[in-house]
Amino acid sequence: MTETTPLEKELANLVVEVLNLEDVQPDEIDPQEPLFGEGLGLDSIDALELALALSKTYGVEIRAEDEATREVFRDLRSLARFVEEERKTG
Amino acid sequence: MPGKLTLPLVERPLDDPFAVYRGETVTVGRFLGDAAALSEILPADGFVLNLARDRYHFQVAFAAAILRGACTLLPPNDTIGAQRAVSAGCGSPRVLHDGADVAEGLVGLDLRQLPPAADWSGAIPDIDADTVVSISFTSGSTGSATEIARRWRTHFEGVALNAATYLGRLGGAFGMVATVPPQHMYGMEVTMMAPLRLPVTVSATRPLFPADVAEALATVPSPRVLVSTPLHLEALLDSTVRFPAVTRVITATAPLDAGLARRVEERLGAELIDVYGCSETGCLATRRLARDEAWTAIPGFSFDTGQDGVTRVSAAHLPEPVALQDRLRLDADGILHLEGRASDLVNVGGKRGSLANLTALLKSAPGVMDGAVFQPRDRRGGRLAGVYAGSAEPGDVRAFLREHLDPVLVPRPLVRVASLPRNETGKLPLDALERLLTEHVANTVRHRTAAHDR
Repeated sequence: MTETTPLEKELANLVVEVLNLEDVQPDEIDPQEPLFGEGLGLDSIDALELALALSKTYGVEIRAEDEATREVFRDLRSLARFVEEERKTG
Repeated sequence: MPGKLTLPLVERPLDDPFAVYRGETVTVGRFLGDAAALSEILPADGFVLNLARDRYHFQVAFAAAILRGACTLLPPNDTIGAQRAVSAGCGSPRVLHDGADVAEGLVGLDLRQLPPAADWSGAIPDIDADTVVSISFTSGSTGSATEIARRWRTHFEGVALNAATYLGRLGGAFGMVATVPPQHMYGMEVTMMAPLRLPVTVSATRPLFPADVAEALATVPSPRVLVSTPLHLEALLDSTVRFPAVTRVITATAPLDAGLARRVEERLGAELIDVYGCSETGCLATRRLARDEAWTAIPGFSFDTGQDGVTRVSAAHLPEPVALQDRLRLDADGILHLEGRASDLVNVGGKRGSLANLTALLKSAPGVMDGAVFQPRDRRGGRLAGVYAGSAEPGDVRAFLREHLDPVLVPRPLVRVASLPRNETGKLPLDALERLLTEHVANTVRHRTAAHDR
């Protein structure tokens, strides 16, 4: 397991809470574990819910039209990087 | 009334705008040109599996198959398991896709690699009206998958009924954006068939996030029609994104409440029309829910409930009466009354499933002795839950289910118990299953809090 940053921890809590992942502990999610498909097995409804929560909590808008979103949603680490960058520029 | 022997593939002028694809407007002529070019490299008379996510790719692949005399198979999702299941007995269908993983042993063709063809300049091709052009695979209430075969006539004539109701009164040409997949009946009928006969320009995209929906809407001409589902509309309302003016919102697939309908109308400045239908027949009734809860039947359908309690629907464009899952009654004023819903069928994020089928699949997982998939009430998006008894680990059971199901239909959580709460008749009351789930969630939260406090 790799070192987790405070923002990654915060996002792990958000993911578990927003998506009602009853059988997952936030501190069990590795920041480099895939969120969709294999790893946590999230799906399109989750992506939508997560995007809304991110917009409400951090004021960042997610778009899927480009391939970049796949990258953003890959794992907690890339999600945290995205939130940080958007907050700086936004 | 015998119909015509042939019907055209398209009923629009060649220079009409047809779709917004990769940021540019594609005409009917270009669409026919692309379809004709693709049809030449398809095997004749066989089957194709259309997995395209992009609406323009889907249109081109569907039209190309028709031109080639091939029948299009529409699986319930694009998983490897579904590809195998629908291909059984159909030789080796060509899999037309735009990025899906193709099942081993099947030949794929990536629609993104096709070069743009020359515009079609000839006469519009005529299609034999009674040829079966598509077979959809969907969950029936009996517990086994149902195949629904459609002739070109059924697809083509169905558009006229929709044009007279929820796609009418738009005053000439309009633009369309849809958040639903093209493969399922609703998306197919509204976003794929309608553009072949009505003056609509469709965005090829299938936007997911609110910001994407706004962006797609901005690319299509006004008046704009947004085709979506209650789940998605709720998400749009929750966001702070600004949307371009929308004239009409069409929604289907899941129950909608009047409050949500009114909020959507206010936020988007649109008229929201709720559509009722089923995979077997297409759209059957509509209502403006913000004003009236009653369903008005689409003219052209007649409903008959027999001694057996089963409602059958007939129409000129359907080759024979179709038995429905729900029990319906049409009154003299054209109002359609839903007198009984088939409770086995569930809809999660626009994906239809049968609880009996899902339960059977869960029980077939290695190391699962008994199990049940159910839909807890009051859960956003209708997310399913599952319980099982057996030696298998929840993670392994989940992995097994994911191989066969669309992700949204995989139950969450999947709770392992010593035995299922069956009553004395062996049935599983929903109350008992919901209680079990509540207890499980409470335990998990307690465990999580304890871990946090340590």
